[in-house]
Amino acid sequence: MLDNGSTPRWDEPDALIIGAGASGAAVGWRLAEAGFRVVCLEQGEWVEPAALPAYYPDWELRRLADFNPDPNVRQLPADYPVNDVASTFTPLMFNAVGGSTIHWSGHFPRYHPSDFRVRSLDGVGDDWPLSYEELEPFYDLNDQMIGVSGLAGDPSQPPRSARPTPPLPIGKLGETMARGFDKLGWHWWVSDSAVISAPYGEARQPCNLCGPCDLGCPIGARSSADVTYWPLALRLGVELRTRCRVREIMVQNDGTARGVLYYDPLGRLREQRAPLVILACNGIGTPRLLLNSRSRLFPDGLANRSGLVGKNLMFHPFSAVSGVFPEQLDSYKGPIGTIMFSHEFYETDLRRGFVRGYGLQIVRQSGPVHTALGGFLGQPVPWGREHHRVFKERFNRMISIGVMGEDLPETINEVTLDPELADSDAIPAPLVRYRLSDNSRRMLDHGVASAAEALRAAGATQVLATSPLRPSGWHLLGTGRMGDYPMASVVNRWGRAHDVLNLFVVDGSIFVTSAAVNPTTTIQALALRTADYIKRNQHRGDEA
Amino acid sequence: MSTPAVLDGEQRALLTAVLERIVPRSPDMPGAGDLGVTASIERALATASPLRRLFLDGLVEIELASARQNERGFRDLGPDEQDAVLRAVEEAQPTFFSALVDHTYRGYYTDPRVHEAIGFESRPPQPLGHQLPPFDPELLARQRQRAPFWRETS
Repeated sequence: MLDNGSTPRWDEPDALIIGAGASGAAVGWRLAEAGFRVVCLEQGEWVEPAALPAYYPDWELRRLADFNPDPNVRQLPADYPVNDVASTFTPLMFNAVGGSTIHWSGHFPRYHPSDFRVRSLDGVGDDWPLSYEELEPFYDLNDQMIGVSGLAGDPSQPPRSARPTPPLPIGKLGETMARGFDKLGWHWWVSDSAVISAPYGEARQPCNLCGPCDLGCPIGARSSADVTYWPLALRLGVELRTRCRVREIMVQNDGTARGVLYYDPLGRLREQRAPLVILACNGIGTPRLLLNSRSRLFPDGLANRSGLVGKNLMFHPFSAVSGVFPEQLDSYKGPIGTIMFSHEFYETDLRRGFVRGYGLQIVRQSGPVHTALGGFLGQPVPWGREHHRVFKERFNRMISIGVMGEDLPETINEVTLDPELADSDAIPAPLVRYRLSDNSRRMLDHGVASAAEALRAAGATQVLATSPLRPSGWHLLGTGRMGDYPMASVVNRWGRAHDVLNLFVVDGSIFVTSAAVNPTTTIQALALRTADYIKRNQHRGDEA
Repeated sequence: MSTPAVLDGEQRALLTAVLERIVPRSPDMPGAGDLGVTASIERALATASPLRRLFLDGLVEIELASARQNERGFRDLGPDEQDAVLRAVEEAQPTFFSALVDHTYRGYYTDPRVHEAIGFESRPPQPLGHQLPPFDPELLARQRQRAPFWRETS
């Protein structure tokens, strides 16, 4: 399984995928199932379940070191640095087989139908070149493939198929919040979670509620790409070469991609040719690689004739609000980030003072170190005489709410190349510029007030907030946007680059707008849809 | 685990006295100084040279502030005077001070004796996990009465 690239199986693959995360795994499996010979290059390695922090007494300290979601803190050999000095939010990611699904909390909501029609409905952003209805079969397929828990019937969403496994327990913490939302007459529903609550798939155990999903799931309950698509893809013959870092994509004289140059595990520069190249490197890694792939035909970076590669970076405007409750809530038991949510304020209502909307996502707490250092809010318990009183007030007695707003595309928010910073292979590192728009600020202010109201209605005696919350850049979107017009987008409605007919992008880069929900559900559904397009057309370059 | 020598005896005694004010002893909780958090911080300092510099300079700042405020060494002060010195250093050297607090908490709250005192079962999350009662669908009774309110687009 630990194929390091020394013995290539496919010298001449039909398709080459860069990146083994959520989207690379999905597209690789789907193409292999259709008989494609697929090679995937991944700069990280397999994560060994037995080595994950959850088995060790120092588990909470690992969150501050080699399992920190910030690559600049982690600095593992697979990581590349990100210059984020000029960004409101810290970009977060993980580099391994499974990508950022390794540190993912698995909250698995879908876009609403309105999220695909933002320009038509609200006059902002842009419409997607596809609809919810077109994507729905791929949402369903993906849910079945990876295993999702939850409950159909939510009135804030279109009807959907029965969830593959029942909802996870919400515990005393969830029941307390449910009472708060019900008291206000506000919407809440139990989350769709990419965490199985009952036996599903092979060699996976149902969730045993251990808590820190962000430190990796050692029992395969969480539906990260390494335990879902990858075992199936490998069985179908996909060749996954780990510790292989792509430097650039090469083009030939006709303007199509020839393949890539990459560093193998021994640091040797190698070429891998392929008639079809698929990027799955996330919303920062993908524009970085395209901008690093300059040639005579593409002097400003590959597939960048529109000038939009790296532009329109979206995270999600994000704030954290926590309530302190008088009673113990078992608040560190159960998956930390996927419990329940409210979409009461999801759709546009201009009377609120901003366009578009936000979701409220309930978040659990973690262990004692996490509590002392300030938990989700990052506001440490004070030192000194008040320390023990405040710690006891908070430990196991807090509920947090993530306020996550829709981000809208703005060309000033961007990923470019840093003129000095580089990774360990001397490949230029990304430079991220992002500032919160006025609309986002008003949205977060409203969201923080709503979250505080809900927490008080649930019985909180004290409410604390951090707004915006800097280390919240989990969602990296928009930097290679989809669209019908080559002047106004990087890829077409199938994820194919307008400028390079055998180059596809399947990660979050292609998002037109961000919606106000976690994106992996939609990233994977789009990747499966692109795979089916490639299958149908056998990458001959015909438009569907 | 043996402690590599990063601090000399004086510095170690000073750090221990400081930790005892960051997380003081109380009737039902041990203090961070008494508990041996000094050794865990010293191990962290041994592996990270920027952090070592920060702490060594920070400890000097504490003695300087103590001399300025009281014309005595930090360890010779009473608790109130010590707290006043630390507040002054917190103000003047925020990077050092937040690292000091951070590393004190890391050491203190991974100690099984502290876990016992706060009622936290001292074991890693796996393999045992936790138990919670299954989700009760009746909790959604009120929500189910609500008509669909997602925005139609066609």
